[in-house]
Amino acid sequence: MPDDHNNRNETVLDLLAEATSLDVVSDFLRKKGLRHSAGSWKDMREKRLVPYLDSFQISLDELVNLLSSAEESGDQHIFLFHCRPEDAVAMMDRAQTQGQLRAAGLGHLVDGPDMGRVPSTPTIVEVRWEAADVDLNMVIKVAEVRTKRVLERERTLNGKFIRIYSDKQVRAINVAKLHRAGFLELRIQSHDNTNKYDGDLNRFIRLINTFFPIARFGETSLSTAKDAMWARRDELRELIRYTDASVVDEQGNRIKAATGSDKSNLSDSAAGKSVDYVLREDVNAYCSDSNIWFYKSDKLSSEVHVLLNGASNEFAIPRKCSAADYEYVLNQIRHFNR
Amino acid sequence: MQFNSLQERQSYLRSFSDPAEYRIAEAAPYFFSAGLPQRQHIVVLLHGMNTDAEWQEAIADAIRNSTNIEPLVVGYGNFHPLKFAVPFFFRQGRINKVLTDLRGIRLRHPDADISVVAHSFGTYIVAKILAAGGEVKFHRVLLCGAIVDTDFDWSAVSGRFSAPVLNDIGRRDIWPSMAKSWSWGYGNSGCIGFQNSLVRDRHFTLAHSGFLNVRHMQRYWLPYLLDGKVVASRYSARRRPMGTIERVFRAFSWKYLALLVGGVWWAAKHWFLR
Amino acid sequence: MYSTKFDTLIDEFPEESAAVGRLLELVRDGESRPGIKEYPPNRLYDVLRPSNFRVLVQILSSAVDKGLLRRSFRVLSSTGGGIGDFDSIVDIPLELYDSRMGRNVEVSQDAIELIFFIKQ
Repeated sequence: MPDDHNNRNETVLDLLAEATSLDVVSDFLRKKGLRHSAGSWKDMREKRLVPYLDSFQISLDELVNLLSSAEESGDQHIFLFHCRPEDAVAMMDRAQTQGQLRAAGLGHLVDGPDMGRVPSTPTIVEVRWEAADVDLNMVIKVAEVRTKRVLERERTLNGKFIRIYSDKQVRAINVAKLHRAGFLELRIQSHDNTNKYDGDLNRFIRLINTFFPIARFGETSLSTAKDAMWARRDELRELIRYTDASVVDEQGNRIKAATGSDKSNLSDSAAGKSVDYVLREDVNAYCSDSNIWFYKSDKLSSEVHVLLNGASNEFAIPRKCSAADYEYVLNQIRHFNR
Repeated sequence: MQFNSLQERQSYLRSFSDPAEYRIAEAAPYFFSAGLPQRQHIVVLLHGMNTDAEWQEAIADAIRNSTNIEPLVVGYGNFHPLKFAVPFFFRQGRINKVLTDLRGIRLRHPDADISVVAHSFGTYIVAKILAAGGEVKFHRVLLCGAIVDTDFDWSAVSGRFSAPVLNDIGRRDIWPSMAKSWSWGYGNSGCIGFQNSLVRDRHFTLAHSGFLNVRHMQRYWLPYLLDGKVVASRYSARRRPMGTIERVFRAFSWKYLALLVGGVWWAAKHWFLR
Repeated sequence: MYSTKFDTLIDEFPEESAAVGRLLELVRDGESRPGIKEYPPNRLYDVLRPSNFRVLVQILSSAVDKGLLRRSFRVLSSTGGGIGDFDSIVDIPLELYDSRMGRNVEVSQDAIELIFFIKQ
C-alpha cells in the first residue's frame, strides 16, 4: 500500500512537471499561504511539494485537481463553436453520456478519470460535469501520444547533405468543453513546429463525435473581436498591448505592423496608425492576424500572450497558464466578439 | 490526417481517383474544421485453422466502438489439422473462398481502403492471394502467428499493399516452426521474422494466440491500422536469442524424419520380415 | 448566364440559400470594380456566413466547378507576400525561387494558402 501511495505521488509529480509551468504551481502554493518559490522543477519537487505532501499541508487530491486544470489550460490552440442551447443541454445529459461511454468500452470513466494514461492512440481519459443547480458544462479530456520530430544532427555524405531527425514520443492533452448556453471550446495542445491544426482538430472532432456531433455546430468567427479590440486599443491600453497587427485588402495586399521587441506596444506607433489608415481608406480591408498580450492585473495572475490568427474561430495561448487566467482571457475575447 | 511534409501530402492527394473528391481533399485543410473526406477504411479479420475464431468478433466490436474503421470478419470454416498438413487438395479451396469474399467486399466498397489482419493459416492465404496477382490489393497488412515462408518475395507484390507489412512474432509461438517442419509450403516467419525491408518484424513474448485480444489490438494494432504507426514492443529491444537446442528443434524438418521412419517401417514390414 | 449558375448552386444547397445569395452579391460587386479580388477561406466564412466550414468548402468547390470563382494555392514568402500561385497542391515544387528574398527556398506546408478569386 505505501508503495502504491508513493507511486501515485511520483506519477502525479511527474505529470505536473510535464503538463504545466513552475509559475502555475507556484501560484497554487502561494494561494494556500505556503512558501512557493523554486528555481527549477527539481527544487519545486524536493523542497516544496514533497515536504508539503508529507506534512499534509497539501493533499494528493489537490495536486491531481491542479494537474487536471493545469494540463487543460494554455499551450493550446482553441477553436470555438456554437450550437443551439437546447442541443447543448441534450448532449450534456449524464445518463445518455454514461450509456455512450459504456457502449464505447469506456464505462470505467463513469467512476472517474483514467489518470496518467499514455495511450498509443487518442483516447478519452476523462468525462466530467461542472454543476451548480444544474450542469453548467461538460468536459471531455483526450490523451494521446504525439511523435515529435527533433533534429539531432546534420552531416554530409558522398556529396549529399543529410539531416537526421529522431522521433520522440510526447504526451498531449486535448479538451472539449461544452457549455450549457451552446458554446463549445475545442482546445488542442500546441505543436512546437507547425501552425497547421486541421489534422489534429478533425481527428479530435471524430473521436468525440458520439458525444458532441459536429454536424450540430457552427464555427464562431472571431473577426468581430479582432476588429473591435484593434479599434478600441487606446481605450483598452490598461488591459492589452499589441506586438503585431496585420490587415489585408481584397486585392490580397497586406500591411503588417510589428514591434521591434515583444515587450513593446504597437498601439501608439506610426506603424500601428498605418494599419488604421488602410482600414479607413478601404472598406473591404479587414484585420487578419494579431498578437496581443493581456496585462497582469488583480484578475490575471501573470501576463498572458494570445495569438489571434489561423482559422476564423481560432486563437492560441502559447504558454501554460492557470485555469482562472485561461477563463479570464476567453471571457474577454468572447466579450469583444459580441 | 497529419502529413510530415509537402511531399507526403502530395502523395496522399495523388491517391484520389475521383476529381471532385480530389479537389475537396485538396482544399479541406484550409477550411480547418471541415474535415478531410475520409476514405472508408475496412479491416478484414482472417482467422487461423481449427478454431471458431471468437477473437474476431471481440476485436471487431472493439474496433467498431472506438474508431471509424469498419471491421469485417472473413472465415473459411474450421480447417482440420490433418487437412492443414496435407500439401494438396485442401488448401486451395480455402484460399478461393477468402478470395471470393475479398472480391465481394471490393465490389461493394469500390473506393474503400481495405486492410487485413491475419492469423496463422490466414497469413498463408493472404500470401497466396498476393502472390497470385489479380486485382485484390490491401492497404495495410498485419500478420501474426505467420506461417508464410521467410523467403516470400515481398518485392514482387509490393504494388499490392502499403509498405511496411507488420509481422507480429511470438517468442513462445512454436506453431509456425511446427508447420514448417511437419508439412510443405509453410514457413516459420511467425517465429523468426522475414528480415525484409518491406516488412517490420515485431517481437513479443507471446504464444501463438497471445495476440488475439482487445488489449493487444488497441495498443499495437490500432496505431498501425489508423496511421501506419508501428508501436515498438518493449520486448523487441531486449529479446534473448534462441538457444542452440531450441534453434535445432525448430529448424529441423521432422517431416523427412517421419517419412524416413515410415519408409523404413514399411520396408521392414514388407521386405525384410517376409 | 451566371444567375442560372447561382440558381443551380441554390438548388444544390437549399439550406444555405442566404449564404449563396451573399456569394452572388460578392461576385457581382467584385466584377463591377476594377482589379482582381481575392479571398481566403476565413474571409469568405465571415462574408458569406454559412452554417459551418464543412458546407462552405462544398459551396465553394461547386462554385469553382461552375466557373463562378477561380481558386489557387499560393506559396508565401517568409516576408509575407506570395511567390507563386498554383492550380493544385501537387503542382507545387518542393523548392521554389523566392523573388522577395532573391533565393531558393524549400516549400513547407505552412507556407501555402488557398485563395479564391472573383473571375472577371
